[in-house]
Amino acid sequence: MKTILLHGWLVKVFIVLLWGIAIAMRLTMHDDTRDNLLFTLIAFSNFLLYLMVAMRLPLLTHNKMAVLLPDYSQKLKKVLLLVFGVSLLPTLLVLPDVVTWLAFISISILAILIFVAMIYQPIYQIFIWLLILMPLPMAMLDISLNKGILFTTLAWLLPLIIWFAYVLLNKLVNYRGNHKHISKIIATMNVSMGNTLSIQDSIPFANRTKLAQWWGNSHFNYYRKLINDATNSSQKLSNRKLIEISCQSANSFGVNAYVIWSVGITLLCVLALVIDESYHHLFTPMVTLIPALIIGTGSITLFQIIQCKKSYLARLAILPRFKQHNSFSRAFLGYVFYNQAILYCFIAMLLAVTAKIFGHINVTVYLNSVLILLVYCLVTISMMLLTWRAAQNYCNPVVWLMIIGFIGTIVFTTHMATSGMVLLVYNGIFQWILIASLLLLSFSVFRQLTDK
Amino acid sequence: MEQFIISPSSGIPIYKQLYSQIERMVLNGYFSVDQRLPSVRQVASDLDVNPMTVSKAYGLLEERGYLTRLRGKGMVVTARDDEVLQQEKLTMLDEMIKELLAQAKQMGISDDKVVQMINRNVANKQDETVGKE
Amino acid sequence: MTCIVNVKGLTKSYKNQSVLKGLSWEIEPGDVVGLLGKNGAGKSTLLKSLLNISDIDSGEISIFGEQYNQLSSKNKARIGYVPQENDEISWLSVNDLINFRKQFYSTWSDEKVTELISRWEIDATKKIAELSPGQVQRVLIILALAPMPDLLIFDEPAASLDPAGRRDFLKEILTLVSDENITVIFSTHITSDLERIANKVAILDRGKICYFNGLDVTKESVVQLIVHCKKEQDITIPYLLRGKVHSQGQYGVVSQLDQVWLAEMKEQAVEVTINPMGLEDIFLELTA
Repeated sequence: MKTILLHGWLVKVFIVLLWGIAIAMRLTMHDDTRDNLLFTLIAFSNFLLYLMVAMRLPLLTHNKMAVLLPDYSQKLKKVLLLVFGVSLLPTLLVLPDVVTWLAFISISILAILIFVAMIYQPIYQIFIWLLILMPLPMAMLDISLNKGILFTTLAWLLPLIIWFAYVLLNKLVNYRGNHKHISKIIATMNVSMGNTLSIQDSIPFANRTKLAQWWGNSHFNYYRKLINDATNSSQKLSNRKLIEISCQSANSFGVNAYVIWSVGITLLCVLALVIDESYHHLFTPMVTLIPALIIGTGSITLFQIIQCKKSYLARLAILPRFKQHNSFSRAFLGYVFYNQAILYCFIAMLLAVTAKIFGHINVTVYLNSVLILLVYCLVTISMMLLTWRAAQNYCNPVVWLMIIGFIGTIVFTTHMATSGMVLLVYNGIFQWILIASLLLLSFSVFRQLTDK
Repeated sequence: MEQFIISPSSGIPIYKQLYSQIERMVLNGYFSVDQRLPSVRQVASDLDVNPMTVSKAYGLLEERGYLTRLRGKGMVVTARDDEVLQQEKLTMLDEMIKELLAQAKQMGISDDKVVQMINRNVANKQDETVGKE
Repeated sequence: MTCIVNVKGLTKSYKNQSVLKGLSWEIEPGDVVGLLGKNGAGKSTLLKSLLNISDIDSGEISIFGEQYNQLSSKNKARIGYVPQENDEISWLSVNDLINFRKQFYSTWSDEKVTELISRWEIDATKKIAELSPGQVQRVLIILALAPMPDLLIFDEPAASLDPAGRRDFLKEILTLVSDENITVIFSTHITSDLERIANKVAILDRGKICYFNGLDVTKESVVQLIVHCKKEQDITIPYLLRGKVHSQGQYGVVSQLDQVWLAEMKEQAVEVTINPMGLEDIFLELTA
C-alpha cells in the first residue's frame, strides 16, 4: 500500500530534499527569520506529500478487490496513520516552540482533510479559492489576524481536530460512494504523467459534467465553423490550419479559454478600479498566480496533445497536399510557433494590464518577467520539438521537466521582482542564457526540417 | 498413455464415453484380467477432464462387475468365468445389432434386407478364407 | 447440507433495467459450477453481487454461512476472485502487485506464484500496462490462486486466453480440484471449457437461474426426441421445450426424459428415437 501511495521517485526525492534543507537550516541558521522559513519549508513539503497521497488514495479506497481482501480497511488505516506519523517527524524541527508545533499539526490535519475532500468531492475545491480570497474580506471587514492568537487557538483545538479527523478516517477507509467521479480520478491516476490530459478525451461525452460538455462543444464549434467555411468557399484551409484542427482536444487551450481568462481578468481589473487602492496589494497573489497558471497549462497541454496525436499526424503527413518536401514539417512548426506565440503575447499583455492597474510590478520588473518567460517559452518549444522527433518515448520525464522548469521560472521571477534588479537585457549571464535558448531552438527547428 | 479418446462436446456424457470404451477394452482383451487401470487422477489429467467424471465411470464399471477396487492398487480388471464373459459379450453385440436395425429402419431398409446383407457378408468372408488356403 | 453459497430472492437493476429478478441459487462444497448465460444476461453482475463488489437491491446472500456483506477476515481469505475486466493499477509492476496482495493473506503461497509465473512466462518486472490482455488475465488468475482459496470465482476467465493458455488454465483448475476439496464457480459463454471441468451447469436467463443441474444429468435428460407416429395418434410429449409435427411423426426437444411416458410409448408400439445433444445446443434450447 505504501508503494502505491508514495509511488514515483521524483516527488519523493523532492520532498526528502526539502526536509534535508529544513534540517540543515535548523542546524546552521540562528537569526529571527529562521522559524518562519522553517515553517514555510516544512509546510510546503508536507502539503506536497499530503496532496500526492490524497490523489493516490482513490486507487486504494475504490479498488474493486477492497471488499474481498481480508482486513483491507484496517491495513489501509494503519498505512495512512504511518505516513502521517512519518510526515510529522520533520515538524519536530519547529520545537521547542510547543504552541507552534501543535498548531502546525492542526494545520496539517486540516490541510489533509481539505485535500482529501477536494479529491473525493470536487465541490470542496471551493476551499482553495476561499483561502486565496480570504485576505480580501478580512481587510474589508477590518479583522486583523494575530498570528499568536490564531496559533494558540489551533493548538488548543488540536484534540477536537484529531477526533474529527479520526472519525472521518474511519469513514474514508470504507468509503465506496461517488463512483462516477472517482473512476475519472482513477483513470487519470492510472496513466503516466505524459497522458493525463489526453485520457480525459476518452471519457464518454455523456459522462462529463455539464460544464465540461459545454466547454468541449464551444471549443470544437469554432473549428467546425472553420471547416464548414472552408468547404463552402473555394478557399482551401492552409496547411497550418489543418494541423491546428487535427491537434484539438477537449482540453486544448483554445479560443474560449482566452475569452474566459480575458473576461475574468477584466472583471478583476474593474473590481480593482472600483474599490479603494489600498486593498490592491491583496490581489497580488491572484494576479501573479493567473498568468503563471495560463502559461503552465498552455504549454504543457500543447505538448501532451501533439504527443498523443502523433500517429494521427503521421497519417496526415502522407496526404497529397503535403507531398512537397518539408511542407508538413514547416506547417507543423508553424502551428507550434503560432500557438505558443499567441499564448506568450497574451501573457505579456495580461501582465502589462495588471501591472498598470495593480501596480504590483514596475516597468523594469515587467520587462524582466517578460524576458524570463520568453526564455521559458523558447526552451519548452525546443523540448517539444526534440521530443517529437525522438524515436523513444520521453514523454513522462519531459512533462516533469517542464513542470519543474516552470516552477523554477516562477520562483526565479518572484525572487527577482522582490529584489529589484536592473534590466536583465544588460545582464551578461542572461544574455548568454537567451542566446543558448535561441541556439537550442534553432537546433531543434533544424532537426525538424532535416532528416526523414 | 493416452489410451482413451473422448469428445467433450458430444451429447454423450464423458463418463458414459469412458465407460463404454473401457467396457469394450475389457471385453476385447485389451485390458487383461488383473491388469491395473491408470489412476483416476492420471486419466483426468491426460484427458483434461474433471476427476469426478473419471471416478464416476470407474464406479459404474465396478458396479457392473468389470473392475474391482483393490486397496493400495487402484482398479484392476475382475477375473470372471468365461461363461459370464461370453454373456457380456453377447449382450454388447445384441445392443449393437439393435442399433443397426434402428438405423436401417430410419433409412427405410427392412429387417429382412439387413439379415440378407449379414448373410452375404458372412459368405464373402468364408470365401476369402477359403481362397487364402 | 451446508452450502458454500446460498442466494435467495436476489434482485438487482441498473437504472430502469432490471437484471436479476429474484434469483435463488445454492452451491455445495466441491462443486465445479459453470455459469452459462447470453451476453448481458447478468453473469458478471451476479458474481459481483455474491462478493459484495456491486450493490444489490434486495435478497439474501450467504457465503460460508455468513452474510455476504459481513464476511469475517478468515472467510474473506478463503475466496479467490478473477474479475472479467482488469482494473488493477496499471503502473504497478507485476511484482509490486503481487506484494500488494500478499500482505493480506496468511495462507499466501510463494511457491505457487513462482511456479505459475515461470510456467506462464510472465515477466514480473513489467508493468501491468505493458502486458498483453492474455498475460494480464494470467496474472489475475495467479493472484486469485496464490492465497490457496477454498472458493474460486472466475468471471470469464478464459476470454482473452489463447487455446493453449485456456487448456493450461483448465488443467491448473483441475489439479486444484482433485488435490483439495475446493469449490469453483466460473462464468463463460464458451461451452467447451465447461464440458471438460464442470460437474454442474447453471444457466442464467431472464434474471433467474433457469436451470441448474449436474452436467451428466443434463446431457442425459435434455435430448432430442423423434416420435415415429401418425398424425391422428395425437401424442403429447412431456417436458417439451420446442416441438414440430411432421407427416411421419413428431420432433421435439425435452428438458427432461420421462421414463414412464417412454414405457407407455413402448406399450403402444410407438417408436421413439433419442438423440443426445451437445452442451452448446442444450444451452441454446434452454434459453430460446
